[in-house]
Amino acid sequence: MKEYFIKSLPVATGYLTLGLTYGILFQAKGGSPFEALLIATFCFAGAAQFIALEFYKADYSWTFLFITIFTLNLRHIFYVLNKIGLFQKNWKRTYLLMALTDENYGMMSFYDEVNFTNNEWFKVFALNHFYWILGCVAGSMAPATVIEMSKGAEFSLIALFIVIFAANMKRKKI
Amino acid sequence: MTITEKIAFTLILIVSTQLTRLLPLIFQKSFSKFFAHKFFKKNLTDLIIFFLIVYCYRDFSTNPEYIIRVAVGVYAFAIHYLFERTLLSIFSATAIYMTLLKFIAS
Repeated sequence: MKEYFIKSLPVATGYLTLGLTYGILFQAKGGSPFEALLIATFCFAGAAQFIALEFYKADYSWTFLFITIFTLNLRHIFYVLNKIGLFQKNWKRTYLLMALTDENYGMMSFYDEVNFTNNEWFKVFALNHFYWILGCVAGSMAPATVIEMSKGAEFSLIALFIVIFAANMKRKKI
Repeated sequence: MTITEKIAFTLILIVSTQLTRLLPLIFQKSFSKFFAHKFFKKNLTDLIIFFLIVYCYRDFSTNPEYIIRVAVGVYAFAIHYLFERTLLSIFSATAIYMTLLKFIAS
């Protein structure tokens, strides 16, 4: 277990802090910890969850929300097509592909030389998933003083997009 | 928000996200063919992210808050381009933005 824990550490710091930020913003918009738990568990997509916060108000457009989130997550198609060959065909593969976030994809690419089976990746992914849920739920239950202190924390969303963009630009050597 | 809207919000979020991961699994062959096109492979992600950044900066104005947001955005891009430390870029930029916000408020 220790090996998987160490593998998940770089993602852990990111997920816990980003998750906390998400939870705090979600609470500030009027969301409950239970909703945060559901969304973090079954949606499990950082950028999408953040951008969806903009819709979390009365009379939002259902269609527009769907189109926005679907378009934003189109990149997952490439992630799935890229990594699908590395997994054996069993039920754990379905989970692994459904949990293939930016960070998990990045982590898999980082441990390029590691020849993990589904079972081993499953443990690492489950740990990462757990950090994200923990961060989101803890943030959504944070006391009011924390919310007051965290004014401006929503910039982390813009920073996240800029960082993804900068990383892609650098990879293309522009 | 009504309870229906809350339930719909959660469901739409889950379905629209997981569809992008399940569709290529179900229609693996046709998706591999369609998205093997060079343009998609190269530019689609960048385009989406670029439009998202534009979306975040859509409320154009000359008030100090907006100028700070642009300046810190440029900082985040530069620092990530130079050091490629995701956490450093995101959290130093956010910390600077939060500090500057408190500074102009006082």
